[in-house]
Amino acid sequence: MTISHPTDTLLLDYAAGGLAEAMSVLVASHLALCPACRRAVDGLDAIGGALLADLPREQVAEGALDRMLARLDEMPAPIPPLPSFDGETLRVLPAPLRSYIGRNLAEVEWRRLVPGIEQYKLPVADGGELGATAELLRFRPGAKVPRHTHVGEEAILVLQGGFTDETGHYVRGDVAQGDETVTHRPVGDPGEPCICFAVLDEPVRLTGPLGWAQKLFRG
Amino acid sequence: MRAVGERRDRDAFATLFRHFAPRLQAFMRRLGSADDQAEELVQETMLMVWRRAESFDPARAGVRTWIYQIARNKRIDSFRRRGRPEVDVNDPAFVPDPEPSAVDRLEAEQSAEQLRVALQALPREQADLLHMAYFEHRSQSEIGVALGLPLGTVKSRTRLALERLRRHLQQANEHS
Ligand SMILES: [Zn+2]
Repeated sequence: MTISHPTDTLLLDYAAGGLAEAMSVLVASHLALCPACRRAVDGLDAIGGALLADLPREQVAEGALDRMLARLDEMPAPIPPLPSFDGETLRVLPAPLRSYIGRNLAEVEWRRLVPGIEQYKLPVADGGELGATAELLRFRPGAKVPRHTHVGEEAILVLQGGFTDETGHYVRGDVAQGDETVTHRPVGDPGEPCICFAVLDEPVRLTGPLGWAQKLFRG
Repeated sequence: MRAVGERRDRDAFATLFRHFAPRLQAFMRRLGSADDQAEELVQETMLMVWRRAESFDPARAGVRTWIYQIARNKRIDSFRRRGRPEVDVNDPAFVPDPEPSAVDRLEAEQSAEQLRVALQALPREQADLLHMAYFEHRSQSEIGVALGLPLGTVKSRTRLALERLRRHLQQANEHS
């Protein structure tokens, strides 16, 4: 049962279309797992619908309707097929995220960051704008992320297993959000490895003595 | 809308187009696109409405909300060259709603018009924030920067606006 949801601000930014791509993948993935937030976003989208309905009408060019009707039989552009995913991948990765990763979890090229923690960076458009990064993280049970804080905002969606930090305990579907006011030190739960999707819009700043881990999330 | 989805009725679609195209045109122009570019986006949006009409679920969203969602996604694709990930109800990982609440859905449909009335009654400074968010796709923090306001101020004004809308809808439902 999901207990930690994205903030209202993040849901509004998503509904209004103001999120960078990486963060919108994270929110969409949470929505796949959380009926309550889907309902909230439906309500926020309804505001968009009402605002649209209330816009002063603008003149449409002459012949626009005929041009429109002429296009109805156009064939849709073919959508490049996704690979057929295995059961583990279908179970762990919600569709919005799966389509970005485009391969089975077993085929992900994990890169070791520190003992017990591995990373896979996702290709997302416009990640560079704010120095945003999107990545999968995999923690071995008991693995500790060095204590750190963030310059910008961080959001982490748990996909498998769980982790605990000073702010709480997070399991599948939960979103942990932090910013420069939060210093935390996540620890992977015992049991199966914890897999998370993390989005950061600025690099992390380490507050502990371990300067080497500055590159922890940056790679 | 049903005629479009079930019978592929072109006349019904033309009616829908006449109603929504001038509003979509205004919506697209809000981000500063030229007339012909705006028309192209309006057409792309309405073409999607035609193709996806069968999957339109009136229990989930009103027509205007559904069209807003499609238009927003088209705009994000074209202006920012961003992809827009979509939730897929057929996804094996998808967690379905616990119980499809018919009451909620009825209310959603009835409240579309009420929502419009409530939006018109918002104080100017609250309405402006929603317009910047929905028409310009600015995040709350981008709005803060644009207006020279602290993020906390933007967030609390937006929260006031949303609470006001919610109260208005509740009152409207109690009186109906
Ligand atoms: Zn949620």
